[in-house]
Amino acid sequence: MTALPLGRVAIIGGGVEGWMTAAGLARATGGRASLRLVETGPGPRGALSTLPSLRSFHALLGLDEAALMAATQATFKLGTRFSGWTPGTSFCNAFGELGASLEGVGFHHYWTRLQQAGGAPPLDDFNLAAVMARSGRFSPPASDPRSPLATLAYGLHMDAGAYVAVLRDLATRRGVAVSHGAVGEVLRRETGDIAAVILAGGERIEADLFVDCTGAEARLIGSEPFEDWSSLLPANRSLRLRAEVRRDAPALTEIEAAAEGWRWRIPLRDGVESGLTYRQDLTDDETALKAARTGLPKHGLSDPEVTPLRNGRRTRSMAGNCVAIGTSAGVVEAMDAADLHLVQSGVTRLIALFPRPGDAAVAAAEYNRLGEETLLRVRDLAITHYRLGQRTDGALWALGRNGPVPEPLAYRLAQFESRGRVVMYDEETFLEPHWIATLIGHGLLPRRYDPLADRMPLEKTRAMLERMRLIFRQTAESLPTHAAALAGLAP
Amino acid sequence: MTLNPIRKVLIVGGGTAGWMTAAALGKVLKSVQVTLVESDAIATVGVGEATIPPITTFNQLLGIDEAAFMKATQASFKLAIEFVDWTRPGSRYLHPFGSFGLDIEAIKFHQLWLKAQSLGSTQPLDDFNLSATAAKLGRFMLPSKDPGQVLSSLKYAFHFDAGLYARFLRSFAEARGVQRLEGRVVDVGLRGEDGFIRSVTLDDGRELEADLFIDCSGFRGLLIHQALDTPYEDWSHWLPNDRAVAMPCETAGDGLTPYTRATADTAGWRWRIPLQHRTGNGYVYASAHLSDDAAVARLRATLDGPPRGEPNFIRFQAGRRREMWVKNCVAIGLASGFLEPLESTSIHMIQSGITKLLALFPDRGFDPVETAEYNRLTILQTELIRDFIILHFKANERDEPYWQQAREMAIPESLQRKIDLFAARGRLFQSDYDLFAEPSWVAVMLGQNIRPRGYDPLVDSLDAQLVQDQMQRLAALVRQTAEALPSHQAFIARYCAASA
Repeated sequence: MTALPLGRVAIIGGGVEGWMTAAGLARATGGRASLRLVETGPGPRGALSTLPSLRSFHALLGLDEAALMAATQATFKLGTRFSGWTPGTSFCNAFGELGASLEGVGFHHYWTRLQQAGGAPPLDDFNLAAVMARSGRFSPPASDPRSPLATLAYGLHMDAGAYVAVLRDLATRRGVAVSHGAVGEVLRRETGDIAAVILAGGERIEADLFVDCTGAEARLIGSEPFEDWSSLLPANRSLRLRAEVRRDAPALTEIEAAAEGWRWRIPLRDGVESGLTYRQDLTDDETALKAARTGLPKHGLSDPEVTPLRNGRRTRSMAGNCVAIGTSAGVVEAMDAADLHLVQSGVTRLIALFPRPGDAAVAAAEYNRLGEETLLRVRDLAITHYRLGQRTDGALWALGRNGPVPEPLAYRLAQFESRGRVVMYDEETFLEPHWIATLIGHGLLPRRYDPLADRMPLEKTRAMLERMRLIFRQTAESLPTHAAALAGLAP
Repeated sequence: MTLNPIRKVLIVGGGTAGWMTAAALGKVLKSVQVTLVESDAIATVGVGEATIPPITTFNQLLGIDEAAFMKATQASFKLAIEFVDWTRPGSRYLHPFGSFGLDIEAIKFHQLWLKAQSLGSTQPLDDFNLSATAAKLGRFMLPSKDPGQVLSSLKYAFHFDAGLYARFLRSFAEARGVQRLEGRVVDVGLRGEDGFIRSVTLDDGRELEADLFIDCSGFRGLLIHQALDTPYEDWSHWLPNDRAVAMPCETAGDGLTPYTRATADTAGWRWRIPLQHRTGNGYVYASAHLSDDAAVARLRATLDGPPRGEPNFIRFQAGRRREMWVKNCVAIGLASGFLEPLESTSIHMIQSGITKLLALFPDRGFDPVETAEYNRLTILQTELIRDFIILHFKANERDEPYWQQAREMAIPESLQRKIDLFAARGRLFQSDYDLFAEPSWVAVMLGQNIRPRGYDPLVDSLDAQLVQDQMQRLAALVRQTAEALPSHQAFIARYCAASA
């Protein structure tokens, strides 16, 4: 067999991470690389909650969204509702714009001004996606830039196993070969490069580039040092189960804090996934199961699946001829649903920096620099939830609130707290509106606002905000329900 | 209401920085009293100035009519910078505004071009950029607003007379309530309790108080340096040029080119900036390698036409203030730092300072968070520009000792990483804070003869014939569009001709 110009790539590990990588590489290399994926274990269970960015990955792959949604029990996602992080409070972290900036001054400065002048309506009222989600509505973004619907964005809730099946079908049709078997042995050259992976069944997988998609086991990249973040993010375990319930849920992921940890609810078309992220030495699995089942019917529940969780990262995710994508490269507990985005960003970065003999070291340095920045910014948002929440009913929350705060986050929090300044760094996954909604939602109100907001008379500001709120409410109420939008999808 | 709003702002120094600041603050801050003090006895540095496209945003903020502004400042259009003799005598390349070609999916256009080159094509990358193609033909027209038209890809800036620009902005600012005072600052009074600036005293004894002071006094840094003693971070080990001599001349030679020219010379480089009424020229050099007399002689010898006026010498030191905003003083323009005008960034850095000041406008409490954020952003942006400038000197093949030293110098790690990555496979990754976008880096990397050893391997996944056809069509379209434009001269005559 003649060698293909881009060489041989072996993706070790199936699951969402492996198959996203396989589908992405198959599309990008267009038959000029020999791709093989090794399914090392059973496929994933569980549900996925994604960010709008994943839709551009699907577009790159040429996936039809309606068909994908039909195949994966998908529902739409307009954002995430956080509740109970401070007892009795909730807020929505919805996609899309927050209000509208006026005369070059950001919307939240006017909101803060109104707040200080005697009170303002909840910030959520000024995010159209949040208003829609709250009233059980859904609409895709409008293409007319003048429509209030133009700035909308949405993600998806999908069944993980079904999503893998779609990607697997796509990737194998594009020439990705599949092997099966657990990783037995990893053979290395003197340089540290991987020469071959021997599977439990004896099959020998040789490749020029190995992609580690073995998740937390990190079977290939595991020889690289691990930077542990357990002092920054206290949870270390999660449990999930599926309930068969048919009800019209809003287009939201629910993230609810309880004494034991934070509970998530992801609505699918014929069920809901519930899970709990917690800390093992504080909460045993049985207690966690009870917490995850809170509010679910007694019957029609799947067996719970418990997974250890280790927040942290490999100091290098590309090393020699090995690159780690997904949780083998780094883990941040996923209350912000960035997990698939991190996989996507790893795949995209691998495509952009596809290493070849002679330039592998230069490519790896840049791959690792960009990956580290991306992961740290996502981590900082996760820390923010713990830091700002005010629960007093569990040791987990005290640990999270009182842990160290990395300097870039401390700077960001101080800037916002003082004058509502939103600091953005390079390689941010979450943009300004997301940070603002999170910070204000958790009760971090700026002490001051941009003085340029004072150029508009207070009464005019109040009237403009009131009008905006009204338009958003009326717009939302004119839209179909989430259930109707799902029913209207042509498969 | 903000409890302690700024009531009075005093801008110290006129010139480009002072009047740009005064115009913007006068326009935006309606309830703040803005005063500018300057002395007719102090010459400003302003010579012929070249700008970059974001200047149009500043004009929009002010609501300036473009044709009127160009008429008042003897302005011409700028589509590119031509770099002559930089890699070695006889070499030349353009750094045009705008981007090259069209990316295909995740693959950058210049990668397609690199592959074509590797297969023997000699078609210049410039053929895929309308600003470059129009610049070479001496053509100009305002871009189309229809994104479907090739003409919408034209990006432009201006050349103008900085003295006239300051005068234009002065009448703009005064019409919006900015008060101008004539006088020389002889003393700066600091508050005993916290070292903030309380007032400045003029030579006639007047004492001017304000809440916020803007230091636009140029290299002297009357407030930020002389009064507040803010140290300067020296970058002359990377950028050793420390002198410039400027001398305008009659328009001749290539005439009213829609681009700036920067020509490398024995111990520095010469600029040529065509305006409507004359051509601005200057020689930026390192005094360690060239005497003032030799620099003037060389500049005279290379002028397009007869000189207009005597040589004007400027001294400087590349670098930046350690902080640009200290206590209640913000330094804007040369008082905050200096990078030689090789990429026409001086006016942009003023604009960027003003924009940040407005975004972080303080109150009288002067919370350190505003100061910290202003300084963080300014330093980040300035250092990215610095790296881009250093690139022009580092990658050269000239023989003179000045150029040998530049070639051998150690450069910032941030730049070395970019060069290594580009040299391998033409790849670039951008910071959100970099003023110069990827096409600019590509143009200068290639222009300075950093040829990638390979191209992005994913290019090979595209249908080669299809890509080649598409490239040919694109180049033809760019060429046709450029050829259909009026000449730069004719467009100016119609759009914004200044009185002689």
